[in-house]
Formats: sequence, C-alpha cells, structure tokens
Amino acid sequence: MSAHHDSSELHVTGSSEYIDDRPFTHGEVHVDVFVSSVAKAKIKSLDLSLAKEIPGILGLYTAKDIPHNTWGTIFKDQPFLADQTVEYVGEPIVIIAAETKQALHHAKNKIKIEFEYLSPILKLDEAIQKKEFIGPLRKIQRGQPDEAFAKAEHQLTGEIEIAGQDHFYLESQACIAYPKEDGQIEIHASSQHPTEVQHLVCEALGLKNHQVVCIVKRMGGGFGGKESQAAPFAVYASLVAQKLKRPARLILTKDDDMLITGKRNPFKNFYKVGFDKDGHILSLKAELYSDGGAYADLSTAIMERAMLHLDNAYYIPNFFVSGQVCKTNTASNTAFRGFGGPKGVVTIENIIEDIANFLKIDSLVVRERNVYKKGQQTPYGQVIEDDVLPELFEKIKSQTNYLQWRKKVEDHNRKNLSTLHGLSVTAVKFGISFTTRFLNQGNALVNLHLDGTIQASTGATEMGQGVNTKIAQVLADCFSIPIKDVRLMPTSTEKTPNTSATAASSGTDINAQAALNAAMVLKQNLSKVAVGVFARPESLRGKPTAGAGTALEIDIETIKDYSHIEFTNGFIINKNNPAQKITFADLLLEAYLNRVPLTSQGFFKYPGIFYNKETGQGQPFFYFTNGVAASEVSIDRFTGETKVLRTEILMDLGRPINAAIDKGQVIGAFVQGMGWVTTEKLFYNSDGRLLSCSPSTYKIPSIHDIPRHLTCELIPNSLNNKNVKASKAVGEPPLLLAISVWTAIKNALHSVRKESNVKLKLPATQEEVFHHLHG
Amino acid sequence: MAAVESFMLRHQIHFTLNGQLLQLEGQHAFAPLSDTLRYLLRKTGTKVVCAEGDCGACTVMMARTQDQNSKGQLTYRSINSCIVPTFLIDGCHLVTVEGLQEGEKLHEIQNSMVRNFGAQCGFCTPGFVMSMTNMFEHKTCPSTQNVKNYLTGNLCRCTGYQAIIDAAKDVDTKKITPLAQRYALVHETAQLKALTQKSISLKTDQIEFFAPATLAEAVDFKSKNPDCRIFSGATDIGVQINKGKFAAQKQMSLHLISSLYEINLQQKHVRIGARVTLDRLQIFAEKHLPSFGQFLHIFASPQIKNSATLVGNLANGSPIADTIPFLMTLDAQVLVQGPRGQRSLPLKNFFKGYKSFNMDSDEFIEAIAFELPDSKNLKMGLYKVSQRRDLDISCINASIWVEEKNGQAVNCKIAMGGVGPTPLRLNQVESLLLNKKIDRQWVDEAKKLISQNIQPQSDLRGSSDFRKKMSEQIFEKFAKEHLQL
Repeated sequence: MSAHHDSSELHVTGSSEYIDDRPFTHGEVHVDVFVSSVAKAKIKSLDLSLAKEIPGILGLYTAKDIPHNTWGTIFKDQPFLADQTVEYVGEPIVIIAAETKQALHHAKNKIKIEFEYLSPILKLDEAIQKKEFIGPLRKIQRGQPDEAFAKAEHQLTGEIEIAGQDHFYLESQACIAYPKEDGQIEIHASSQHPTEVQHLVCEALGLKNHQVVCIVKRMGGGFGGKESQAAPFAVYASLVAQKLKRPARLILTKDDDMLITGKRNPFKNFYKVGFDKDGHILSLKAELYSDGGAYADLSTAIMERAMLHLDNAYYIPNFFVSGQVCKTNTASNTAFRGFGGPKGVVTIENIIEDIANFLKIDSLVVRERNVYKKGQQTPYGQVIEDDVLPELFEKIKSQTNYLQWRKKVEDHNRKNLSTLHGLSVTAVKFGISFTTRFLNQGNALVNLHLDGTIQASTGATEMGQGVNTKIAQVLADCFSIPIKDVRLMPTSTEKTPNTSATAASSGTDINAQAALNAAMVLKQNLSKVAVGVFARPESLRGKPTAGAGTALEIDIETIKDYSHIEFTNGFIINKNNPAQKITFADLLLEAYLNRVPLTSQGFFKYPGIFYNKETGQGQPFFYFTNGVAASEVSIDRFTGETKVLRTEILMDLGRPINAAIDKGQVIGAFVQGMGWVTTEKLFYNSDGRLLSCSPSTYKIPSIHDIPRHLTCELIPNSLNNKNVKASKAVGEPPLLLAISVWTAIKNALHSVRKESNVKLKLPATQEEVFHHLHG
Repeated sequence: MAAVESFMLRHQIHFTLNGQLLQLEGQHAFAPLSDTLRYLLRKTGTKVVCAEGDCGACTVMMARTQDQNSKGQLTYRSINSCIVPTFLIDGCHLVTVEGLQEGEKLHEIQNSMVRNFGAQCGFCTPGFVMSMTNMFEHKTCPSTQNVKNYLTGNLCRCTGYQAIIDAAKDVDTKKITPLAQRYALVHETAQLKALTQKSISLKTDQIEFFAPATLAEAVDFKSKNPDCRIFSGATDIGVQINKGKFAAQKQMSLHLISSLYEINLQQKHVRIGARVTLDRLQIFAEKHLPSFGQFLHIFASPQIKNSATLVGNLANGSPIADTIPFLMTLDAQVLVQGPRGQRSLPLKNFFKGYKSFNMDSDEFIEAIAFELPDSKNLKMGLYKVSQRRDLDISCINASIWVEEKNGQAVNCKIAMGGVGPTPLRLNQVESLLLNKKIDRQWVDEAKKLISQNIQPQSDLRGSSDFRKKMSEQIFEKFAKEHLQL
C-alpha cells in the first residue's frame, strides 16, 4: 500500500491553500497587466492620464519604472515590460495597481496607446524562410549519413508539422508580494523555480539576494509552464509592493494567462531516411526547426533535448540532426512536460510508421528490428546499459496478444462501414538529467524536533506530482518512523538557496537524495548518541542529569563503532542486546541534551554527466526511463471523430518509491499527451491573436476522452541501482507514449489511403482527420 | 400603494449556505456566486479556473425551494458557481465542499478520493468531489459510464481521470447521507418559501434589477423597460459578465415565477416553461423523445444542464445552440408574452438574423410548445460535430428526419446549426427531396442540395469548407446508418 499524497486530505476538503486562497491582508492591492493588442509595432505614444483618474487606481508602471528591465533564463533578451516595441499580442506593457478588480478592469480600457504597425512573422514557415533565428544552429552527427543513403535500398523524405500546446494548469499564474522592513520583499508564488523568482526580482528591482525570499507552498499544476514564466509576474507584484509599500496580489484570469504566457514549442522537422527491405534504418538526416516565439526563454535547451531524442528507442548507425530555434511574433514559448523530447520522438515514430506502410509490414516489426540493445551507443555517444527496451516490446506483444489484435483491427476495417480502426505501439527512452550540467544539483534541510517529528525543506516544489510525499517517505524510512511524523515545509529560498527548477523529471531524484544525504548525517550522529546512551545506566537518561550536570556528556567524536545500532519501528535498538532500546523522540532529546546537532543540510548532484553542446557528444544523461504503449483508435468514417478504444502501457520505473503516485503520473502524463496529439488546437487569427484562450475553445481531454480500456503496469526492474532508492524519474517520460495514439490514427488512415504515406499533422484534430478521409 | 409595494418587495436576496440562512444586498448580489463564496464568505474550497462554466472547479450543490418533488423533498443539483450571479441563488439552499465534512471526519466521497489517489495538484479536486456528490444525490449507480457522464463538466489536468473514476466507483454508498437529510432545514425552507413570495428590487450605481414574483409583474417591467435583459440560467450571460462583455443596466430574473418551472404534457401537446432546466428536459425527453434524450447526454455538463434552460438556449440566439435543430424539425412553436398578451410563433421563422428574433422588444419568451411526433416509421438522426465529443461548443449540429413508405420519402425534415448566422430549417432542400424514391442517387442529390443551401463561416471551430463537407458527410452518415444506403 503506497502512502497517500501528503495534501490529499486537504485537497478533498478544499482546505489546501493556494495563492489566491490566502486571506487579504491589511492594505493589500490588486495587480494586473495591460498587454499589447498587436503582434509587432513600435509604441508611438502611451497615455496613462485617463487611467490614472479612475477611482481606486493606485499606480501605473511602465518599463521606465523597472531599474533593470531585461531578463531571460538562457539569453537575456526579454523585457519585463515592452518599452520601445512590442513583439507579440499579449506582451505586458503597463503594470496596474488598484484597490479593486473593477478599477483594474476600467483602467485597462482607459489606457491610450498608439502603435506604428510593423509586419509580424506569425508562422514558423515564414521564420524559417526569412532565417529569423534565435541562438546557434546545433548539430549531432555519427557515421556518414549521405554515403549510407546511397547504399540503402529505400529512401523516404518528408516533413512533420507539430503544433504547440497550452499547459492549462488549473491554477493560473499567481503571486503575492509582501513588503517587509528594510526594503525586503517576501513573495509567495505559484512557481516551479523559487530561486529564479528571487534572483529576477532582485535583478529587476535592484535589490540584494538577502532582501528577497520566495516561498512556494504548492502549485495548482505546473507542467513546465511555471518553470521560467512565473518569474515576470512575481516581478510585477514585487514592483508594486516596493512602490506602494503594500502587499500586492496578482492573479491572472485563465484567458489572460493563455494569451500572455508561452506554450509548448511548435516544430517543423524535415527528414530523409534510408532503410533496407526488412525495415532496418541505415541512415537518418533531419533538420529540426522550432518556433521559439518572440524571445529565447528555454527554447534552445528544448531544441537540444529534441535532437537528443530523435533516435528515441532505435539504433541508427548513420545519423545527422541539426536544430535551430526560430523567432516569431507570438508569446515566448517555454518548457512543457517532455521539453523537446516529444518533438524528437514523434518524428522518428512517424518515420517508422511510414517505413512500415511503405514496406507493407507491421510497424511493430520495424520497431523491433531497430530497437537499441545493450552496449549500443546513441548518436551522441552514450552507451545503452541494459536490454529493457527489447524486453518491453516483447512483453507488450505477448501481453496484448498483439498479432491477434492486429488481425482483429484489419478484419474490422474490411467489414465495418461506419468506423475505421488503427493500432500502433510506440516506445519512449527518456534521458534523465538537465542537459545543462550545473542545473543537476540540489540541497535540502532536515530539522529534527524533540517530540520526534521532522520538518524538511528541499528545493523541490510541489505541483501535484507527489514529490513531497516521496521525500517524506524516504526520510521516514531512513529513521524508521511513521510518515505522519515527517512534514515537508513550503519551498523557500531562505532554507534551500540556489536550487534548480523542479523540472526535467528530476524533482525526486535530486531532492529526495539531497534530503536523504542530510538525514544520513543525522542518523549517523544519532547512532553514536545511542551507543553512548546504551553504554550507561537507564537512570541517567533525560533532563535532570543534564540540567544538574551530574553525568558526563556523550561525546560522539569518540564513538567509532555504531554498527550494532538499528532504527526500527520507531525505536532505536542495540542489536547486540535487544533489551536496550529507546524511542526516536527520547533519543533526539538525548542528542539535544548532549549538544549534538539535530539539523542538517544535504546536497546532491547527478554524478558522471557531461555534454558538449558544440560537438553534440557526451554522456548527458544519468540514466534513461523507458516505456512502451499500445493504442487502438476508432475513427468515424463520416465525421472523422476519433475515440481511443484501448491503451496498454508498460513502464520501467526501477523500484518505485510510491507506485500509486507513479501510476498517477504515468496515466496523467499519457492523457495530457493525448490532448497534445489530438484535440488541443491553438487557434490564432491572421493578426496573431490567440483566439482559443479558454476551455470553451481550447479542448484539453475530458473524462470521456480517455481510452475506453486503459491499463498501466510498472514492470519489475531489480537491476536498476543508480538513483535514489533505486527508483526512476517518472514526470515526463509517459507523456511521450501518447504518441501511440497519433500513430494509431495514422495507421487507421493508412488502411484507407494505401497509395502513399499520409502527411498527418499534429494535433490530429477532427478537422485534420476529416481532411484525410474526405479531401 | 407605496406601502403595499414595500410590503411585497424585498431589497435583499436570501439563501442558506451549509445550513446557515444568509441575506445579501447591493453590489454583493451581482458578484459571481464563486466570488461571493471565496472573498466575502471565505469559503475558498470552491475554486475558479475558467470563469466560464467549462471546468467545474467551482462546482457547488444547490436546492431550489420552489423545486420540491411530489413528496415535498428538495433535490440538490450541481451548478457552476463561477457563472451564476449571486442573485440567482435567491431562495436556494447551497452546500459547498466545506459543507460535506461532518466535523473532523471526511465524507465518504472525500475518503474514497484519498484512498484512490484521485487528487494530485488538488485544484480541481473540490469540484470533482461536488460533482460526485451530485451523482450520489441522484442515487445513480456508479458504473464507469455513469461516472463519466456525471463528471463530464469537470476538467482535470493531472490525473488523466482514471484514479478519479476509480474513486467514484469505490464509494460505499451506504455511508452517504443525502444532503436533504444532512441539512434538514425545515424552518429555513419555510422562511425562504415565504420570502420568495415577494418580488426583489435591487439597485446599484450601474444596475437596476427586478425579480418579479408574478408573470403580470414581469410583463409590466418588460413593457416599461424593453431594453432589459432577462436572466435564465445565466450560463452564457454569466460568461459575458466575467469577460467584461455584458453591460445591461436593466436586468430581470424570472426565478420567482413558479408557473415557468412546469413541463406540461397533455395527450401529445408539450409545453416547456421558461425556467425548465435542460436537466429536467432530459429526464422528460428520455421518456417521451428518446433520441432527443440521448442527444442531450452529450449536450453540456450536468452543472450547465442544472442551470441552463431550454428557453435560454433559444433566447440566447446562438446559431449553434444544440437544441434548436431538433426543435425545428419538431415544428415547435415559441410562446411569447407581452403587454398585448400571449402569441404563438413558429420556431422555424423565429430567427431574424444573428442573435435577433421576430418578436417585439417589449415581449419575452414564456415557453416552447410542440407535439410529440409519431415516430413509428420515422428515422431520426441527431448530430453534433465538435472538436471534442463532450462538453464542447458545436462546429455543426443537425437534426434529420426521414419517413419512408414504399421506397419513397413521404416525410423529410432537415435542420442545421453552425451553417449560417442562424440555425436553419432547410425547407428548399426538403421540398426537392420529398416524395422521391430513396436510393443512392437521392442521397447524393440531398448532399449536393444541403451544401448548396448553407453559407457557413470560417472560425476557430472549423473552416467554411470543412463545415460544408461535414454537412454532406452528416447526411451520408444518416443515410448509411438509418436508411442502409
């Protein structure tokens, strides 16, 4: 039985506190932003005089009011507030502070702005053509792809168009900045990256790091959307707090959030593949282009991960990939669960689907013929250390009775005139680590209290993924105490500074291990205290002796052997004399009375990783998380309406710390991925304004959209020993398995369009599928 | 006269919250209910995400005191509190997620959500808990299908829903006390019933609001204030208000007029009052108009159907209102009320243009009337095409009826929405198809005629070309599945 999510009882009763649930404090003001209504223009004039007169308006601030107006996680290229020019519809221009929300609303309508319109670039295609690029062109190469094409029996060329996706975290961007004495600011934010919030607020407002604390209790969902992009809103609220010396609350509406913040990067990938008659891939060349939107944000790192995942689960001897981020006049795109991974993986899975259709063999056969085996190297030089991938393919085949399943699908398509079925199996091999080495570090603070309870703080932020629960489990397990006695405290830059974003699936890996490292130091000291305690009469335990100074202090420096001390079921025992035992709380009291520290800071970094971004070679990943999924879809032959009939998922998560939470991650990520590949379509008008900026127009999966039959199994993997408690990271990898739904749709369409490969766009919306059915 | 008026008038609204009788006045009555709950009454368990009734995070339970069944029991139903102006819960009992717990003890639904890992980030969770409460209030067996139907109006971005479905199915129904028992509220119900005999008049700097207790007062107010906007379930107006797109200064709500809550069936004649919600219509239709009942399943969410009315769906004037094509094929009549009395107008000519009607400005819709069709040989097809199957605004919708006799089409009715500025009954197409031999050629002719007779626009729900081709495919689907052609 897995431990429940540590907030679950609060969640179900509505008593969990999110930012906007915090009570209004005295004098608290509402903050909002006035944004650009055009995609590209020079700001000719900005007149705030009418807005200032609205009753209740307390302040209007522009770029001039921000001491350092430039930010950017990788490249510093983005203004907090647009100054001379605007680069996308939704770009913040003015910060407004008011006594009431109504006043904010009125003031927005009274701001007069004149633009000199410039012609925007709104489509990725145009940016590629005009070479509007952000950051350098990156490459990874192995072997001689061109020579290998000449030798390959068959070649296919093609392209794949991949659209963006909105995070649609339920809690929109939100923060409150509380001004404190001496120019200090305490920010409560819905952010995956409190350290960056702290640093950016300081930079922007000209404060020192020791004047600003950022605290994150929890988020109502993040998914990457609050990795870099929570910070500007914290800056806006902090500026108001600084100027007015009043608490400032900024809560975006869903519409504004979708308009202002960036999405998953759209990609357009061009490829050429060479293969033999059996479907062995001999050579692949691909050019990847992503739409970064108006500013760099994390797009270059996202591109890097896309390139590193183009091989996915398949060994490709001759390989070349280049990647270039492009600039368009749309919101600055950003991290989204999977980062670049899904865009690389869907490209190769699409190619395999096409190879199978071309050769008229089952796509699973093509996949099995190319799957990585132990000892093979990736194009970037990392060695595959196990045979988990071929085992996963083997297992899904036997478990689903795949050959019969395939036959059933084919029979259905021959006989049924109303619906068309498709079936496909895809895999994921997801590299775990940030590809930027220095980000792979974390620290944790573990405080032991005298009643036997623990408060722990780490750099991990809780966004529903259960990282705090897992850390609590690891700590409870370390001291063998009940999990209810361990509490994870709000993430705070004061307790755990200089942390990385909770991202790249690494939250538990890094932070649970850092917490465990802290705990192990404490445990060692406590064991030594126990040796000292057990060495003297029981009558000497407790306060009176220490207070009176009648007993010698236990000096842990002198105690070397503590191997006979065991923490078990809330007690610490002497294995050599089991009658000697002491409760955890009593031992902590002994430690305190004998002046042994009960607090510890732990640190962890992924060992042995390196990646040279310029040569495209190295060992960027600590390990891989692998999985496969088989999906069957049904398409209405008339309307193109698609249902997912059945999905079976197999994941290797090592030895999960909390299998139930991990399964929740797998299924949640899968369904989120399904949205990306099917119904979630961002619709922009010809002026570059996002029109689908609320759930009435932007369709994330509903409860009816999940596969009619959905199973998820975590396969046992006792060989894995690399990571904290031999577990594996889970956050992102299963999202990529939803690609099986998209390839299954493609498979269904191939069954009626036999002559050539279907150029299916992603997402495969009903309109897209309809188009392929009825031209 | 003034004395009588003040005696018969209220300047407050009245309701109970988790068992406690409350009254609000002035500006507070106009705030969205979710804001009133969160910021005025500090019940922050109710969350707001979309503020347009699409995500269900703001779901609360409501029982209208007028809405007692034959045994005098109140029925609690779920609604989206984000799009309901607070004044519309006048006369109601409200229960929020905070009202489920009994002391420190979790409610069984809450327990089941915990033990099945149904909550991740937790933001949608209270809404799901309330929608499950709605399901068990209706004594519905928690089969997978029923669970999905009852939770259609709640979006979750974390769990992929599986754990939530498991939680709903795992609830031990024996441990659930119906809200009407949990909150007996006998005294409060009587008080609210007495209070709701009185009309409400509320005035702020911007708004003059009136809720008449009788139809006569409604006619009077509308004739004196022809520009007033009438609130029904507010499931669309509520969205407009939240998005700053609604600024009517004169407002009227008909929620106090009991006669408007009636569904009247005499022989084959049906009359649906202006306050009949789609939920109650669905129950009626499942019995008397099964194909329409089935269709209403994929129409909106329980929360919307518990608030929205059939008349509201028409009066909103949307070209893609999902009930209208079917009502058009039913040859429904619109009963309008005004200073010159009641008039009956055929629905198919009721639309004048985009969001405008052939009705005078001092009139309002009191009911919709139609006759139950003799459906023995009638093939009826109802269609809704949208990006997502459930809880999505349509790109196109259609109702197609064909009756075949000796191989000929002796009856043929086609109505479509989303193919022009108003829903359309395709009279010309119908007359060209009527009394012709039903064969492959007839189907092809019909498809051609349909696409020739519609002028769909392009928007984010679909391009014009897609809609034209889709309207043909809808007929093709009807022909394959109902006429075996």
